[in-house]
Amino acid sequence: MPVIEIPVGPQHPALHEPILLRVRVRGEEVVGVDIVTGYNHRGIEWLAERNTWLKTLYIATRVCGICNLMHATCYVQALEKLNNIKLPERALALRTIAMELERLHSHMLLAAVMAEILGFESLFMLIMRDREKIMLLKELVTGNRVLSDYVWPGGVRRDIDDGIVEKIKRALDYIEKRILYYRDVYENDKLLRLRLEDIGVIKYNEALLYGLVGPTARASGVRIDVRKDTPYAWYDEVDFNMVTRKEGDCLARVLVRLEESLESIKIIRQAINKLPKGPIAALRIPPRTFRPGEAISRVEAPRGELIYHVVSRGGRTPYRVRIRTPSFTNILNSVFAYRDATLSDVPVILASFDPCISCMERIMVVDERTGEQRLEPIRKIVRKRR
Amino acid sequence: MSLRLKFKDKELELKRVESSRYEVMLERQGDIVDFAKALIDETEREVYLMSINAIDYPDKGVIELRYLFWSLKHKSIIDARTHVPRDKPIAESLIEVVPGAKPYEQEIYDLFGVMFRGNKWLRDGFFKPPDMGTMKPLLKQASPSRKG
Repeated sequence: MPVIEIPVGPQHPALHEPILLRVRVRGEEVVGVDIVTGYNHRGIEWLAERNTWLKTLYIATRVCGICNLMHATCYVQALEKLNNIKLPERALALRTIAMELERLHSHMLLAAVMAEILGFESLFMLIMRDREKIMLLKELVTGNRVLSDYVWPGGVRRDIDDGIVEKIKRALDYIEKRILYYRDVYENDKLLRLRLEDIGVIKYNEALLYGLVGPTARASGVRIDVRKDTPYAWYDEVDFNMVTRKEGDCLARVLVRLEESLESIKIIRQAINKLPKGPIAALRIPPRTFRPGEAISRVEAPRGELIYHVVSRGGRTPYRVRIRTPSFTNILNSVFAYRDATLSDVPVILASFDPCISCMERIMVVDERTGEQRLEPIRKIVRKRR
Repeated sequence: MSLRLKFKDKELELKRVESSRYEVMLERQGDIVDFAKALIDETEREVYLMSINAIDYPDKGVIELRYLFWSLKHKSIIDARTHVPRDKPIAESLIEVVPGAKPYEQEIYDLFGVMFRGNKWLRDGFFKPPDMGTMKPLLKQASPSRKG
């Protein structure tokens, strides 16, 4: 049977992640996957070196729509390290609340997208409906449901009052019940289990060897979580569990995220219950220059460890801003997870890492005897098979 | 406080620079391979490569390479600093020991032009758009907005 190569991507109507998977299949069996990048390189690190410290904050916030607060916080933490800025407790607690709201809606998005990919469209719609409540809370806390520009060097830009606290409490009570229900659906629905269990297995040693991070690594039993390992913001003031599972399959990666969502609710409740009084920023106006030196800042973004390495030589612009996002390693270093999979597993495995890739309506046929490659529309291949 | 590592039959001292970061300077970039092996042994494989960061220093004539590892055993970043000359940016690849190094080396080749010996997947256009050709945009003299 010939090996054919199917380009999956680079565009997708769901998550709009421009990346291409060149999937080689023999019949239904996947024999290899190559990942092709470079469709959306925006030169963020280059821009950071040519803009002022504060303009770079706006650029960092726009690296990712889903976890923009994580990027902003990670960058700002590096600046605060450089100038040794100590934050008021209330600002740290507010940052923690905002970041956990972001984790909640990101994990719910993945649970929804996974349901859609598996053909459970009602489940997708239900989760997205509930997720909207979290988006509203994020708007109440940060000023915007998606891009928020909430974090500043020295603190945050908006405070919350008792009315918002009450709304958060009420919404969390509702969301907690819904997440418990969705976890139950993913755990016990036979069809979902058939599509997710023992698919795309990543072993513990592989996760470490390939440097996988976040829920992807924790679903393989690796105990890493920046919030626990090197607590930042207000994470050392709240009690929560690091969620891990041992199975390392797609189901484990979904369940880790749903269980982490419950932990996020726990964190937010504690933070609002003991929210310290006082100012929300250490400085009235953020500094325009930062001291020479360097800072490595990490936060636990929804997809895993996010790193900003900022080098300063003084002056009005950063000398170097290196950004290592969790998806960089989770997507590029996980091609081995597709081994022994079938073609229909490919989007499921890919989605379990939390991006989304499309299928284009053409395939590349490789003649193994001659090595010849040609692109053919799917319709033509289907007609030949008939 | 410092951390000691058996490296090439000697004891290598890693200096604690932050509460959860140890730093070491490797004079020869090629030593990173043996260093990674030593670190994997010391941590009983409870370690992963977090990132390889490149920083261009034209005034020093070097491109600094920072290999950041996370040791689960020590709950700390192990930051191995090394460099390659700007006029001959050739480095030893780490992928034989740490396969997760592959995309980091690809990225640094694409954006800084550091050639990693042993990594056959290096190519221009890994991240940057095709119209930039072989230009290395993150070198300090680069100016992609003016088409190089």
